[in-house]
Amino acid sequence: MRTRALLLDRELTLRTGPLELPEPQPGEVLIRVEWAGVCGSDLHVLRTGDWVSYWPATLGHEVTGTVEHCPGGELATGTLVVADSRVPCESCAGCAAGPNRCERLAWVGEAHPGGFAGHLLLPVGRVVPCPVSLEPAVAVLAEPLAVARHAISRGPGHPERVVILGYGPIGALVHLALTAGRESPPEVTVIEPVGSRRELAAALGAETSARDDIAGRPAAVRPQLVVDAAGYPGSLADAVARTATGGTVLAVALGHEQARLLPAEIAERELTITGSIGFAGELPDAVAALARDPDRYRPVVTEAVPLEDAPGRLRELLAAPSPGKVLIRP
Amino acid sequence: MTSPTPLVAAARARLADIPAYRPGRPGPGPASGKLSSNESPFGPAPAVRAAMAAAASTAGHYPDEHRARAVLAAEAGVEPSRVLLTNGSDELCYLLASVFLAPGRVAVVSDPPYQIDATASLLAGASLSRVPLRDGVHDLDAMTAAARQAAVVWLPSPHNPTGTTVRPADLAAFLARVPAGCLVVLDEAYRAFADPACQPDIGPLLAAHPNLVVQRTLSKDWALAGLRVGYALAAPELVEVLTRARPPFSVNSVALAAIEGGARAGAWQAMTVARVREQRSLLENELGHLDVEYYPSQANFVTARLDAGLIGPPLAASGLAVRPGADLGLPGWVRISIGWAPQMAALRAVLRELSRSGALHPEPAIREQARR
Repeated sequence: MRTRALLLDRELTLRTGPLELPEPQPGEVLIRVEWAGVCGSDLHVLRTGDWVSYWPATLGHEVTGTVEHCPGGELATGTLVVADSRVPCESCAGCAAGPNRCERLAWVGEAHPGGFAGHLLLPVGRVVPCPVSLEPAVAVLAEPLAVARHAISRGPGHPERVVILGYGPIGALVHLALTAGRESPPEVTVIEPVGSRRELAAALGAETSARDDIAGRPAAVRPQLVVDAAGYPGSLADAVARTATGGTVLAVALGHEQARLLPAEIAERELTITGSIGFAGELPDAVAALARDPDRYRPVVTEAVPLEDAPGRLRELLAAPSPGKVLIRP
Repeated sequence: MTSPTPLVAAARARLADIPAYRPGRPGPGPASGKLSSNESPFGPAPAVRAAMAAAASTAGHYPDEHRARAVLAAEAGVEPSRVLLTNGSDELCYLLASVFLAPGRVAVVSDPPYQIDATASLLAGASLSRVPLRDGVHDLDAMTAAARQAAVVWLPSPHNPTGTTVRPADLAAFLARVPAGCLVVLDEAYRAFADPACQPDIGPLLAAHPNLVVQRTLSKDWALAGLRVGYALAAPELVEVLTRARPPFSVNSVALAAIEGGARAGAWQAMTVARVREQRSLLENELGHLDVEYYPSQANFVTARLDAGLIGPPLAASGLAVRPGADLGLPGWVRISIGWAPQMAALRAVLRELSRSGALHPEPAIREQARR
């Protein structure tokens, strides 16, 4: 079948055009895309072409849409679903532990056409149905929320003080996931240079600062958890410097610069540095959390762009970050 | 159908001039598609939600409104003695009408008015002096003239259903000309969404004009429409009189806790207002680009000359509903509440598509075809 899509050429030029998708087979589902979210990793691909295994590529791995055709009948036509963004090889030792531990883990949009398109074809086991009450523009946050929830699951259980470096959508969703449903939520401080992102953080209840003096604070009031959701050169070292002795640094951002760390500091201060990639079983939980309290998450989405306007807007985003999540509507 | 009892027939006769209130219809999809009631797309602030949840355990006691009045007074920059809380600002309309209007008295409204102002006045037995809007804006000269024979002037600014404001300098001049024996009710339900230059400095106006009542609500920028909280800012003597007429515990304890929580919600409200202004600007630009007439709005809605019957079905197909202007005294127009970015993008896409198909500005025959 033919659908309209955002196409990234090998020369990294963006345009909209027709995309041919194979007819869905038993075990597959054809989804009519409602909304697709722009992830920081999409912007990285637009800059570099990294990770893409086919051209022209159609990115977009944060996707919600309705079932248009499911030959095997596993899902009823019209069912709202969110896409599982992971494309594991299903044959390596890592896959035995879970898809996000795959040694050759790829992602929807980079391994095969993604959601910046009118339609998306996926294995039927790679979608999560949503309650009918959940609006699609909120449901599309399920994938990044699952990433945030998985990251938190890798850190200490109930920290009293948390610092989040970087308040892009993942930083914001980590914040919301840390405080959701908690009678005594942690005190969250956000370090973020972009003013509009700090305003969002403040609205959602965080203390905010463009620059911080946390490294100079007495050890007793340093955060037990520092989340690196920024990924700028040196962000991991900054996170280490700000963490309380015995605390945890959670590396969520995909920084691409070498980090300069002093091993003795990590040993002497008994720091834990933990990585987190994608999600394990958190996608259905994220859908349920969004359905329970959509108002809590709605402010994270700050912009919605028609597919036809997406090439221009995405080019702008490469130069100037948005305050929050940008959605594309086919 | 059986004929009504004499009791019902008498009640119907008395209410013959009072139209039934028709609330904005929800969209066919999720709640955020309801762009027909000027609600907030983001709900109340986290601090307000937490305060309401904590207040559930206090429901066994009668409410104490002193702290809440202090919060609202501080926000408005006036003394707490100038604050009167009501169960939604609509209760304040009925309260003012019951105290200051009666058969033989006159209330001045713009035409079309905010409907509750007209309803409350008529229920009190007063007659209405209707002053037509000029280009969607209050005609203050004509209202001044009408006020000379009136007991009350209802003045929403930004106005509902047009979203237009009275400039602060014009308001000050108007208040100086209205007789001191005529009450002026300045309804500022949508004040927060107006540009700062369109927001009058209320403290000095209240001090200079003891006949001024400023009416506000927590239903809009505070996003507490379901909680029903409004308030008046007025001279302490007026507050005292109105308090005597008001039911003693008009605002419940959960609502009072929400007000107290609102003292810690400034960043949330600023975010909400900024997002509404941004989306309002995008919508007005789109309407201008599509050559659709609209009233430049300072509120959280935009009223445009669009055929509700034409745009209703394609909007419904996108999960959206807007308010037909006929409900609000503006047939041939629709009032579009400003919603969340995805809903507004979907709405703009529908308008663009209708424009592309020629349906927005068609010859009459084509319009009829499009409606089918």
